[in-house]
Amino acid sequence: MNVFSVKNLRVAFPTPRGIIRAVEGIDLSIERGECLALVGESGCGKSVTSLASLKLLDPSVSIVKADEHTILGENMLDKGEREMESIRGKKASMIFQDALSALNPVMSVGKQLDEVFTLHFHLKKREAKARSIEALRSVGIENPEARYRAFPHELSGGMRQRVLIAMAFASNPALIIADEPTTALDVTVQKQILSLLSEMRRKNGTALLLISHDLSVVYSMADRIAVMYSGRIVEEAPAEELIRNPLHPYTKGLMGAVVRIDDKKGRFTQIPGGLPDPANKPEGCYFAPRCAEAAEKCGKCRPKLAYTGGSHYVRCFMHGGERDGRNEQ
Amino acid sequence: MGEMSNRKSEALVKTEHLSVRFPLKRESPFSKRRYVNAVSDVSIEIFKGEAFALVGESGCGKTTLADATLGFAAPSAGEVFFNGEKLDIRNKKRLKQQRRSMQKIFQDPASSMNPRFTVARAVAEPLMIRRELGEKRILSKTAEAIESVGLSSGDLDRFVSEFSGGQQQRIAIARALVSGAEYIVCDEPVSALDVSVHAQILNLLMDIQKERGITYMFISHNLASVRKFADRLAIMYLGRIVEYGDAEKVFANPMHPYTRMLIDSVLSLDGGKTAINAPPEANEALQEEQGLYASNDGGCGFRRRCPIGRSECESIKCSLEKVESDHYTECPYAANR
Repeated sequence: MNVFSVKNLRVAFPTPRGIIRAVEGIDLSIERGECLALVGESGCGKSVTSLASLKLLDPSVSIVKADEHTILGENMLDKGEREMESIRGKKASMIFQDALSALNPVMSVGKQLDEVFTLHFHLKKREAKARSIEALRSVGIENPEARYRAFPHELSGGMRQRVLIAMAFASNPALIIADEPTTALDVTVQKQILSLLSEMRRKNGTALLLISHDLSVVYSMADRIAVMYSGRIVEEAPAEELIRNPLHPYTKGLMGAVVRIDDKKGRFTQIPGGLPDPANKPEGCYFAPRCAEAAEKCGKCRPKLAYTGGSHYVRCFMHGGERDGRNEQ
Repeated sequence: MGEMSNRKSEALVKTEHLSVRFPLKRESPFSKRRYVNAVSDVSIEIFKGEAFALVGESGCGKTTLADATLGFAAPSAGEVFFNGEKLDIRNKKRLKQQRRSMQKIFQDPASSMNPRFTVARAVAEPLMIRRELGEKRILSKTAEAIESVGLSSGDLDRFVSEFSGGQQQRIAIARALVSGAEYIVCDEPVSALDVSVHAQILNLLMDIQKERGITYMFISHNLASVRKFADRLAIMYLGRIVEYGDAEKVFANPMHPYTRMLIDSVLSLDGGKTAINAPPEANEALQEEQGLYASNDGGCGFRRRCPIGRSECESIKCSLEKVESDHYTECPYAANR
């Protein structure tokens, strides 16, 4: 059974400059214990997708629509805010990029962890404390009894991220969404946090939706990778397959942007240009203006996500893509 | 290590046994004052026109060392020279003149520029403060600077906050260039940006260097970018330089266990899931606790995280020793590991 599934997810923000279509018809599904990674540049809509997955977007400023949206087989489409509160943190939880702003600065980390147990499992304070200390120990924090009383600012960045991971795993959820969990950290700490995350996941059999802009981070964790560009998935494949055999020019560009340690001094490989203006997207394929392989057709109509075999999908006219009528205005 | 004289070019920035320390809050008014040694006993030379990288984790003192070379942090011991002349932090008047040839680019462009400034005002600010040029000259110099970073002069009237992170960093670079600085400190200039934008900004910095012969101090914790960007480098740990010299030599033959640890931390597209399956470092918590004080207590600061540490490391007096020409390391056991 799918732990998480969403079909044709669309998110738009009405602004004075016009409607910004942040997400334009995304299909995602994650099986039990699987890790799916969503990769793309800032502004491509990956964080909006993650927020919409737990219905965390403010309805007064956003329009969210989907044909299907389930967590553990349960339909999320008609759930209200009250019902969502009992799902978030219990069945599905989230790890944010910036641990300092995700934690409450005037509350000790222990008290914040306790909330998971008192709110979702109705435990007494003392039982909750014991469970919290256990949770802190499970993420490799030494002397958890003392750390229980620490405030977020007293901990280092890596330590704070560990606390967030402890919090996310505390209720043993079926799904965890990690939005750039290591971007704010040093390289040495990044590796420690990633290995902690994958170990915790293995132990608990948790499904993970990992969101990142860095393919090298994603490749070290994911079973499947979906590459997102300007609100749409442009390529999706099992991790090995995607890295060995990238088809979409954007995926190739992202791979080129990963600097290798054995590269000698010289210029960096760059993808020219930037994302299109979200309020004014190009008529054809969104990547066409930056694409070295673009043909005439690419500037005129938008390609569909096409199956190329071996559960490898790509949205490109050069690789069997057909014209997509679904999302054209 | 006074024997760099075989180099033809001269040092633009030089530090001699430089230490910078900051006082800690006293626990009681009667207790002895304790200090954090942010930088201790650092002697480096940065030659004209080179890209010099300073590498280390957060909290190791890289920013303090860079600030000391700009005259922002007062040395508690040792000296800083700029263009052969001593940087005297008390001589405010002279320091102001010397600073005209120095600039700094910060990690987060959004917080290092006033979002309510127009691009023109943000870039022209250094020139306006100097009050040497007329309005027309300032305008033409500003337009020239903004075009040299790949934006158009039509962007000058827009607000800084309207631009994306990568573009804002370009504006910050234009601001550093506008006054004709010779020495620019780039403090993690791409860490806040997307991987796909890293290349654009780093290539731009390299192009500018080639055109104008600028000297960079490039602060980073990502060794893969450093290898492509830098001519020479210093690896810093807890305020000390643990490995130093020609970048290619250090990468070809990394000596210090800390340098190797940093190189191993770089993720690639080769390893896949095995890349992070290595057991996490045992003493991470220690690393974080000891951070501030370790450099006071004698012995090698890295010993508790070190995979080749031994009992002698508790009391050893570390100093940079030569490995080959322009390649130095602090670890005496690195060679016969």
